[in-house]
Amino acid sequence: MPDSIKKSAKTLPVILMLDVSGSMEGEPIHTLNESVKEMLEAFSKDESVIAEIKAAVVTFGGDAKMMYPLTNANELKWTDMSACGGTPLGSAISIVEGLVEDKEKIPSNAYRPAVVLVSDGVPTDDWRSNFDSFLNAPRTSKCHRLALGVNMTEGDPAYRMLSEFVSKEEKVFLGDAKEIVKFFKYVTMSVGTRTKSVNPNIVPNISGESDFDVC
Amino acid sequence: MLTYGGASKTGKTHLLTGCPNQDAWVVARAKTMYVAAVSDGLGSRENSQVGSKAAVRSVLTASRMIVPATGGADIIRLVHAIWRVRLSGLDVRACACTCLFAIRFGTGRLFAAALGDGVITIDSGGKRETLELNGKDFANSTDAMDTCKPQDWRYRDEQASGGLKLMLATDGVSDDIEEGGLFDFAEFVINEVAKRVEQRGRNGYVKKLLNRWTRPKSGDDKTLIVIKESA
Repeated sequence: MPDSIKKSAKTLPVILMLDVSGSMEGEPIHTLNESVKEMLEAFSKDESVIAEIKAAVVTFGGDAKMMYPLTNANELKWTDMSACGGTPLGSAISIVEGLVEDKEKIPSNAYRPAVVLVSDGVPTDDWRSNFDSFLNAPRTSKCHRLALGVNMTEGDPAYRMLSEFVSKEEKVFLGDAKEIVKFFKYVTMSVGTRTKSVNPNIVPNISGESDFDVC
Repeated sequence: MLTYGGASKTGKTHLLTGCPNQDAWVVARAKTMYVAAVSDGLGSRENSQVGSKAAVRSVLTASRMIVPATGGADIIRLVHAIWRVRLSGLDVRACACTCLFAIRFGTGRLFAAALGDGVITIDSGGKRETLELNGKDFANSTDAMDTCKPQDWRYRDEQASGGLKLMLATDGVSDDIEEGGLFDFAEFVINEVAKRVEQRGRNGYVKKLLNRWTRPKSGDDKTLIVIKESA
């Protein structure tokens, strides 16, 4: 067998961009921790024959940081997050753009990444230019982008921001802390279905199988 | 003398879902030329296996119509027009596929063209070139015959010395080769194919290689042709 055949599988990257600002304290952050843990566990058991799921976690609360770089889902050891500080989404989205646009970290033979944003309010930093850059950059613009607005309504400015964020095949999910569980089950199902489909770049229509408040 | 081997293998995802192999390939020889083509039907389209077969056959039909003065852009237009005619009555979007081919003329002219992902490697007396999709963002994102514009094709049209070595592969193969490893891979397969005396054994070696593919979770359809000219 030729030596030049790659030894590792193609990946389907899932990048979580999670709001851990002070307003998420209490039930929201607790539910977020539990839901992400459950999703990562489901990913680690995924039996796809075509891709390995890799996950990265970027948090924004006080400051924005890469909590976990892109790692095989079955190797990621989760530590619970705590909530504090403002909502520097602009810095977080810039970190995610840097990751997605880096072909060393996400090579061009990886499947289209899923970028999952959870937030409960408007950003507190100068976010607009980073946000626009993310939506228009060559690779991030092609990502499968999903979003959950926690404790917000359709009229909120934060909702409008999330509406701009999601990719065309998705809608913004809204709800209280309890909806975080359902949202991450939806993300798990969506990614799991992609890794078993003929073309993992195509997002399956599974809205009929969930019971979300979809706007 | 021309030595070649080629084969295609249905990917695991298609086997599990009961779908056919959506790749197609052909190698054909005539007195004054030979032709090789591979095509990968887009996995998400209903009749892409029809489109990929039509693509490789369109290359064959086009090759018979080319005269020395036919320019590269016209060859591509011809292939594309024949493909559309072959699919008359069908929705071409449902037949979307890539198309990579090489036509070697007795005059020494080599015309190689590629639309979409996959790769052609050309080794002409040590001068090495590849034709592949540049700037690809993610796997399975490709240009295809149904929506392409002439500028989406990449091609080489040149006088090539004897002893040419070619490899044509769909992305099920090319995506799985290490960066910078395409020519080593091609050389390895060409040498193995050349050890076999009969054509059946040569194609059989390529088939065995695809069947025993070692990259984990590599579920795409795979198609590979290697060609070696010798005196």
